[in-house]
Amino acid sequence: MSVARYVAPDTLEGIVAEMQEQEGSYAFMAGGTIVQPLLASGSWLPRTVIGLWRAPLGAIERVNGDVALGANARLRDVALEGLPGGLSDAARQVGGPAVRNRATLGGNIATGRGDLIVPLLALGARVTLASTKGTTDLSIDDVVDGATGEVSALAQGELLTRVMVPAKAERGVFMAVGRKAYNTPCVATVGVVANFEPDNRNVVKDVRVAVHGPQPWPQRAGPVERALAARELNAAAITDAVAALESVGDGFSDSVASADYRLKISGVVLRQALEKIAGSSRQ
Amino acid sequence: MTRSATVRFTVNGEETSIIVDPLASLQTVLREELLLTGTKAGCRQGGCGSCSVLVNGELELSCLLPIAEVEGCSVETIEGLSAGEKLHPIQTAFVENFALQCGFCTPGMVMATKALLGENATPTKDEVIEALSGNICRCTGYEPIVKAVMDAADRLKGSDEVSLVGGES
Repeated sequence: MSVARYVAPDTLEGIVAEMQEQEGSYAFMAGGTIVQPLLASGSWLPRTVIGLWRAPLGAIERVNGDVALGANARLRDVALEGLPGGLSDAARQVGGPAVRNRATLGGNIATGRGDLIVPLLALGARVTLASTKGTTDLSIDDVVDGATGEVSALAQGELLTRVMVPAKAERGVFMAVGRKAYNTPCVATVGVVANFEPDNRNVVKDVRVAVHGPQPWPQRAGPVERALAARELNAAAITDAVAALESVGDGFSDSVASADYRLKISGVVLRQALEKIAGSSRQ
Repeated sequence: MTRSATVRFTVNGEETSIIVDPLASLQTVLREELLLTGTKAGCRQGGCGSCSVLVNGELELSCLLPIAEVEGCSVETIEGLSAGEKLHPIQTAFVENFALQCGFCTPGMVMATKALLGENATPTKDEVIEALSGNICRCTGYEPIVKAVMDAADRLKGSDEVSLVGGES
């Protein structure tokens, strides 16, 4: 058994035409960090593989106060871009340098488990999907299902082509804890992006918090956000926010960490992230 | 593109043309078609770094790279570093710092070092550790490897050998 057909169109239109022709029986391959090992081992053999590397989907451009990141943007380039909300920090801690030279932003999102989903949720990113029916712009909240971890829109024959994030965030941070300093699967990650009241720089105006640790997938942490809403970001508010994390999930166990440890560390990372936000808000 | 394609690229400065499955990995083509077995096959899923090569000067895991994407590219493997019997300074640094035991990871380590020193000629110890974080060694404990990379950086100061294929300068 092997893949019957491999194509690599050099335009988005060409990719969409292939999607239409194959009627759902295809797989996309961008950087190949996920798909290529599956193909090589024979554990996944779609009838057609559509390579995305030739299509012009990798640009990173500043557009009217936003940054438009092509889905094929490499994590190496995302890491170097100085993006807000810890997005570049998150890209920098994925894998080793060679993996970041191949792995793409779109692939990281498409897994539904990628580390960049946390800062993208915190930033309120918007994504563009292409299909045989045209293009659609959606909030990242509508693409990554916080209740199941499914990347629902991408499962319906759509291709992620672009991610839009604000070029600046008033206060934003991404923090991760792993078993070692570099190239390590994360035990827990937290992303926070907050705006403060103009007339009181210590009071939260609005905040988005995303976590990966309470559940086996990245998700918005609604209870945490509600614990912080319209409050001064002091020690009491931070303690309440960490306590609210317990209602987000029970943690999960795998070869990296036990559920109990992961949940505890999620709280530690959240506390550190909020203290960092609080410290920078007082500057 | 179908399941058999002609792919043209250069390996260690030599032009190569091969008819091959376009989804075959560069690692497979190097080892099984071109018999360049210095590039090792370890995990075959991008996790160990033993198959590291340079493609257009950038560090790549050859097990993750479909050969179709190598069309028109310049590939450097461990075989391209030495000039005959004369080792590249990075290789000499690895030997003289005892930075290998079984040697299986060494080609990948050396290529990752070449990529690092091509971008940063004077790395700190922490930058070396980060740059080699995708390359796994089960023998040495890493300390002599890090020393070797720092030593290689010293040996290459003022040299252009990092950016060259082969050991001549």
